Amino acid sequence: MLFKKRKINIKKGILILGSLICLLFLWNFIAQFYNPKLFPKVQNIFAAFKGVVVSKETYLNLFASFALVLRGFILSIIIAFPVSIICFKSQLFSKIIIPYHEFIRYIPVPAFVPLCAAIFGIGDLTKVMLVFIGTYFQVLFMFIADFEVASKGYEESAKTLGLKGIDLILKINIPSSLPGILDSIRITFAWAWSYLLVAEVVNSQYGIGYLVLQSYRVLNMPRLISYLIIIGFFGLFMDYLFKAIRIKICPYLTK
Amino acid sequence: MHLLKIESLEIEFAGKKILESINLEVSINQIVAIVGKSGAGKTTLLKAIAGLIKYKQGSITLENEIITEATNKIGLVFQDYFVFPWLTIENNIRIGLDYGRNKSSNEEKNKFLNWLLKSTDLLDHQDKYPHQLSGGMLQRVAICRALAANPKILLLDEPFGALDLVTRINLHQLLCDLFNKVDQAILIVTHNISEAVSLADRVILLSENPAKVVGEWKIENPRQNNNFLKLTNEQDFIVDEILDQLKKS
Repeated sequence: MLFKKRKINIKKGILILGSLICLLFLWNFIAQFYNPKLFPKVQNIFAAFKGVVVSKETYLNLFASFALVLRGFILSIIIAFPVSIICFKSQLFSKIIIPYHEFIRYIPVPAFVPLCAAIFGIGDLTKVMLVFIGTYFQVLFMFIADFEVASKGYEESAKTLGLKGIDLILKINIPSSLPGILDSIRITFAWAWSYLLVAEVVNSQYGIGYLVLQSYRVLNMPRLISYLIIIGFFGLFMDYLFKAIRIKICPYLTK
Repeated sequence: MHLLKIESLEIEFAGKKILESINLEVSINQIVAIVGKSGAGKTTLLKAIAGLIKYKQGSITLENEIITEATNKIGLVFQDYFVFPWLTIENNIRIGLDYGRNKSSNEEKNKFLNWLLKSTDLLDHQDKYPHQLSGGMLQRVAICRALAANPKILLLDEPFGALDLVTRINLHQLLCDLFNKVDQAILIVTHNISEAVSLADRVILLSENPAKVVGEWKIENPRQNNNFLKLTNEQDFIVDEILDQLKKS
């Protein structure tokens, strides 16, 4: 079973519920000082949320966005993983390519929107590439750090057993770094998701970012906030899913 | 004939000399203990012998072959065990067997694996993962894995350092038993002088900043009672001598 049954902690539950009620009261308190069209009250958001959460359109757009994120994200992982291994193993290779990566890493992703649109057109490929640019340059450095932190003692131990070359990478470096790598994937997936919303500004006809933008254009703030809540819940679900997969793949992490 | 020979070994890190003019010899079927204060450079010396640290001056030879990189002819058991957590106990030891005894048949490997597991009382735990075992058991797994790789010499870095007294005594006895059954030399680093004197044929004292050999003691009739808490009068006398020398160094 991927998700373990957890004991319900009543104390924790009361604490979360209490803090949520406080937050909603605080929201309504602040809302009274603003234009209700721009800063809607909780009850108006709740009414809109009821409509959004049962709408088929919401889920079709959510999964369309998810499919786009996944394409860009998987592309970045597929490239970053071998590159990080080569960087970890070869100081020369690392010294040659890392400065370029550092340089690009500091350029904000939205700044690439016009460039990507010019090169890849205004279709889905631009969105995929923006997600790729947003995640690849971050996840590469995280993977390299994962290899460096996890591997040393195990690697030294394995070398004295006679392992070297590709055997050392496949049997020691990758398995020892796997928990860290899976964690890095989980963290960067959240970033990939946020870059998608940036990407969906470009000529979108569908997607959850498109729905957010449409709600903004007609100043339907309760609806806009409802979409944000759904994005948040979806992110939370993905986070739990990644954590559960990590425990499943590395059962020794349970202790 | 000397199995391991270290001549005029010097190691520097960031301009700071860690080891200076280390000369050391270990023969077949001999246990040599290295003692010294914490941070003296004992682990650095072991790692250099194992080929994990590059050295600029001096030489380390094993059976007249210069050691420049790690090899399974020199086994190293780390203080932190480094038993691979993603593998079962059996598969941890099998890695040693597969790479150190690659010319042996599967039957021979299985026989040796069973002997190791039986000798170290791990037979019932072979399908478990490292996180399910205690520190003492993990230390035994690490020793088994190193022996499985068929090293000519086994280097042990504070093998009993993080264990409670009872586990420590048991492991000490186990090491003596294993040593009598396998055809290997052992070089052990420890800060426990009683342990060194009760276990080794020779005890070598290292000074600190930088580490140099400042004393060497030959132990007559070593490993008589396999318990470092029950030393003979003569061994007690050597412990006192080493302690005095350690205070001066």
